[in-house]
Amino acid sequence: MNFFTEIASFFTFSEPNVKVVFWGSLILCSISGLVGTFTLLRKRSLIGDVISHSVLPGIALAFIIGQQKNPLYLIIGATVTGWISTYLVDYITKHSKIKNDTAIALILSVFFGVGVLLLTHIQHSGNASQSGLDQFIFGRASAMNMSDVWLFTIVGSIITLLVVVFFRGLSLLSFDESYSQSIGFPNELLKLVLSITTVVTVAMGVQAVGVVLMSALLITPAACAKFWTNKIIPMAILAVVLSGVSGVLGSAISYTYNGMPTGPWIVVVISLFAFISAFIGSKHGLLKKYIQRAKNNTKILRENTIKLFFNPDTLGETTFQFEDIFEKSNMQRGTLKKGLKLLKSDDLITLDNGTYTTTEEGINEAKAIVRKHRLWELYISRFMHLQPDHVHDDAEGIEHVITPEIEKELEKELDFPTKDPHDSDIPY
Amino acid sequence: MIDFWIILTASLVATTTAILGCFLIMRKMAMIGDAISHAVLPGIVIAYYLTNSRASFPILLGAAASGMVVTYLIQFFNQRVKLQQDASIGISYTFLFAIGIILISLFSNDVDLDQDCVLYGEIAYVPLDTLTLGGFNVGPRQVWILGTTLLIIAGSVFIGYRKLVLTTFDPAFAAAMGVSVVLWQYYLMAGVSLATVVSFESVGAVLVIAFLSGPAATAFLLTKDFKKMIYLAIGFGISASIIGYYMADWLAGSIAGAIATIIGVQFALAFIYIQFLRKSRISETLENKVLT
Amino acid sequence: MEPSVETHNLTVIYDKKPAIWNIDFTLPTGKIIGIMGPNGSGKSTLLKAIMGIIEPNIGYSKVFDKELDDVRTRVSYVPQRQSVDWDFPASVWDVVAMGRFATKGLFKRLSKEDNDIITESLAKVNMTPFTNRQISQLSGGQQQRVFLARALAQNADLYLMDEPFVGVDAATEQAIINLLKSMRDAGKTLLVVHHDLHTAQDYFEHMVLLNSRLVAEGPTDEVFTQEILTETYGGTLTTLSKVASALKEKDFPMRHK
Repeated sequence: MNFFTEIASFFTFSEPNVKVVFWGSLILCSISGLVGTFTLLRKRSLIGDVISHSVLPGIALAFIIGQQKNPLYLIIGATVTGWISTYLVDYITKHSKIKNDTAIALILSVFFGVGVLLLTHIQHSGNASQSGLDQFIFGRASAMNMSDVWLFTIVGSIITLLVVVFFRGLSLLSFDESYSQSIGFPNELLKLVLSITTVVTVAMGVQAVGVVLMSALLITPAACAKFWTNKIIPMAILAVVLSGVSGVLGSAISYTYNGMPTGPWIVVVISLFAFISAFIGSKHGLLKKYIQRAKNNTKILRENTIKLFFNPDTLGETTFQFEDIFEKSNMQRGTLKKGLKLLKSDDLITLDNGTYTTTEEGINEAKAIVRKHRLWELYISRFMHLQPDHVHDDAEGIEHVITPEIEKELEKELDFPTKDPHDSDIPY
Repeated sequence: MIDFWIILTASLVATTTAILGCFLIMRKMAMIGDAISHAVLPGIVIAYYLTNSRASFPILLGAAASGMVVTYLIQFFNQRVKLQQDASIGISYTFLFAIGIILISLFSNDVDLDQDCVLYGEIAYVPLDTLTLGGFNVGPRQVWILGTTLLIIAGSVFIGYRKLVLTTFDPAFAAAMGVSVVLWQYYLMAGVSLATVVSFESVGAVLVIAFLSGPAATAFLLTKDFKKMIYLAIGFGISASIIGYYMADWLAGSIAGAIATIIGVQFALAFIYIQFLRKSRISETLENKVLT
Repeated sequence: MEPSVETHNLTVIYDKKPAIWNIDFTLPTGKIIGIMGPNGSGKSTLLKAIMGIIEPNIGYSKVFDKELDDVRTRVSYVPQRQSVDWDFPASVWDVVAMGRFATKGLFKRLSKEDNDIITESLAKVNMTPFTNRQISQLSGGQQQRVFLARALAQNADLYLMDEPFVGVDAATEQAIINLLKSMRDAGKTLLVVHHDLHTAQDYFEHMVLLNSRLVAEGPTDEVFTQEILTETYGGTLTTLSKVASALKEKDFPMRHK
């Protein structure tokens, strides 16, 4: 069986049920990406975990009462117990010395335990139409039917509408709860909107992903988005898109390999997005950090090398043979060669017959870095009351981070000085 | 006899986890326990698949490996790429757990592991898998494994008790005394990983959280002495195991699920009792004030 | 006389913690020394760096002219009261007994001598009647006294105290300062983080004035001057904080080798 042709056959909707699975997972995952953005920003991601485990007893109860697998009943049942669970976590934390994490772990596992007890009870009591109920644990998108999709569409639209209507309040609540309170936003109402939308989203989502992994769908898409942007609207959009794509891909894989549960595949796909984002994301991404570090090192090498060409007497042009300058530096031979190459490619120095000569630009750069060094020495000796013999090492490091803006401030604060603490001239 | 073995198994799990749970909840690390208990799954499945047996040692190795992976992942997200703690935990363990479930589906022909049993264990089957020593049937294999684990955990906690309490209550003071906070953290996490893995077969990944956090939380509400808290937690764990077993029998449902339910009931009762006590104390002081 | 604490170019720049730059001083022994400075000036950071609780980016510190590890039993650290969870199920006695763990290791039972020291430490802070009280039932002042008793039980020569006067009642504050003075008279050195300018002159014979950088250090009558106080409390150096955030933001190495 060829994996790709199988996947491709999913996307051509060759079987009628494929359409159901496609739309079902797309809607469910997109909605949870949207709602998850707010729970993540409110640092309440693990509440999603509580809710998703706690819908299980609700589903079981709905089944016991309704005696059949009616999606509406199940969603209502799930919503009720899911909502009770978040309420209990908050209540316990507020009214006893039990800490939040303990309350979360306790409620999550006890509700799940009750759910398991009820579920196994139903199974053993031999109700014929119970089959399909345990699909809620890991999710099976292929078990959805058209009426499920209609229900998801309606409920999903209501959730989206709520989020859009309350968007400003929800964003402010997520970023700064006390500020939102102080300007008279109805925080309690907003929290209620958010908790209801979260609970309903989870209650629907367990159809596709199952109770155990539903929390991933709330947490991971928003976390992915956070690696790319700090603005809430792009973040929400990105979370929705990534989540939707993972939903479709995950259910495609699960659909292709019959017997594979959907939830884990969706979670694996969205987790891969998270890893990729963590590596190449523009906010805190690893790659960005490495590039920044490499840039830093290049900058340091370049500035340390041009500094060697500084001519304290004339402040003008200097010429050096490699061996002279090597002796003056305390760099490795290879490092120095690399530094000189950098300078040459930037036209700060010229190489002629083994002799390095500074250009106009090179002279200015050399002066600039020495100036920053000496300004910083003066600054810390004056404001940190350090002895002149204690300031050099520090300035060796800091001179490279002083931006033109900081340099101007230093000059102003030091009243445009001319001498450093060692009584050398500060070159302008 | 089957009753006895099942209750003994549950009580061994309850005792081991209650001891560790007291430290976990006082360190605000209950959710790390949650993460580890889910994340050991892929390691367990791979070890099952490779060795094709339920031998404990390879399983332990596999679980330890995936336990380390999840700790690393959480740290990676939280510290290297600055993602908030709760999201770092959430991403890491759901990912590993998902991988575990997928592996179970992939190896379903070769591996005798059931998706559901991963979540809530198969304690009812424990007595069927017995250990024979020198021709004698010495009881269920799980009971021996869990018994040994209990001895190891109780022994380690006894050995490290002072340092564990010190680093739990006041890590800054401990560090100033030259006690390595990180080292004792890992000491405890190693214990939690071991306890979770060996409890896996009988109570599963989610319900072990109830065992870890529930009895300890109930005991925390009721006592003001840490040693008493540990003993109380053990007591709650064992009594929940006994009551839970008979409740499951009555309802024809999952034993582990029933025990978790009882753990929840115990907490609820203790919580209501404390609220009641507090209210009556407040009204008492009010009355006294009015009288004087 | 051997110095109690000396720091050399001690620099700590981390995310989310007040930074300290190039702290360089040598403190005398047998004195009550105040560490003063505005909020966020790095007072606690300095104590933690001296105690090795946080690793400095640059520089080092010595205690009694030795590496900290060689003299740990001679040093006692009193963290901020708010840094621990007072709901922890323990009695006053349990907490004070922690002060004896350093010399007792993992197993050795507390001897009669240890018990005497604990009893005595509790008496010194007037907490004897509360010996078996659960710590969550204590007032702020009583909690602080428990922390001091624990430090006393360590029987150290140098005490580093992080804000011992915060959130305590006037009576406790007076009791604490009397206790510190009697400890000083017994030859101990006390390094105390404090932020109330009104009482500083009465409490301390020697001072460290801090605002991210060391503004002044010396005997109180020399350094507690209007000029130095203005420099200490007259706002942060904006340029300094800009350089610090540039370092953090660009993940720049502090010193290039």
